Amino acid sequence: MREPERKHVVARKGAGGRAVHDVGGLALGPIDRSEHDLALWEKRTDAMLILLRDNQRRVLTVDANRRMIEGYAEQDYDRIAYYEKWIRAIRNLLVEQEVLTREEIEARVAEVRAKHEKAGRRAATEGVPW
Amino acid sequence: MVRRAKEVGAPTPTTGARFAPGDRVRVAARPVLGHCRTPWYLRGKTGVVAAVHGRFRNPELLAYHRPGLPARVLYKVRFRQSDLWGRYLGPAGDQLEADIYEHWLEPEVGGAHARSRSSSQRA
Repeated sequence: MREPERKHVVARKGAGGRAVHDVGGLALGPIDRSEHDLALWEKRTDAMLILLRDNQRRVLTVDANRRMIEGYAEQDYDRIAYYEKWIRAIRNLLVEQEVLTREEIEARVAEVRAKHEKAGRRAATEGVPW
Repeated sequence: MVRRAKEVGAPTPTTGARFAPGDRVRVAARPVLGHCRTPWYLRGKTGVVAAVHGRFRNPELLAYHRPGLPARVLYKVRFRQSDLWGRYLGPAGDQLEADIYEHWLEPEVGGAHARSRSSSQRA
């Protein structure tokens, strides 16, 4: 069966309120339903979100996390993976909520990167855009 | 200082709900700035209230660290697939159910007596 087509296909960009994630009905091709084993960082990301939203901390809500993700540019939203969207949103919300500063996060990332490079491990050179 | 997001508890009772199961409703077609749970493809579409879920804090406000009050009634609304898609090729009886908050629903003019059929198919 062919995919259903919306009566008037509207691009997300400049579409009067259609947000980047709200793609239902757009001709974006088939959905990749394949599963993969979660990497350690993905499990940690999941755990972090659960801890940051619990009743003890209440640093963020799932709604705020979604809002942050929905604010990514179209090209970023389509390119980056599921948990990368999460970790980027969590990072930005930690700054928004004044738990950490941007400078503190960047300094720590540089520290970790240097540690891995020194140990001869491959470290990502490209930072995650804010 | 951490601005704490408010605790989201169980929904409160639904007394005073504007719509009841069987009511025909239209999803508002207004544009949105910011977080919103009403999908684009349902805006301006007409459906039938299938269930009243309860009152929940408003995600449109929770997303900005607000308390999300007043809590809004959330409905399960049933749509005909053929009403949503221009060239829907599935079986004619196919339906789609979506959870929509009360402030996104308007009474469908002239549809007050139309009731949903008891049989339904999930999308």
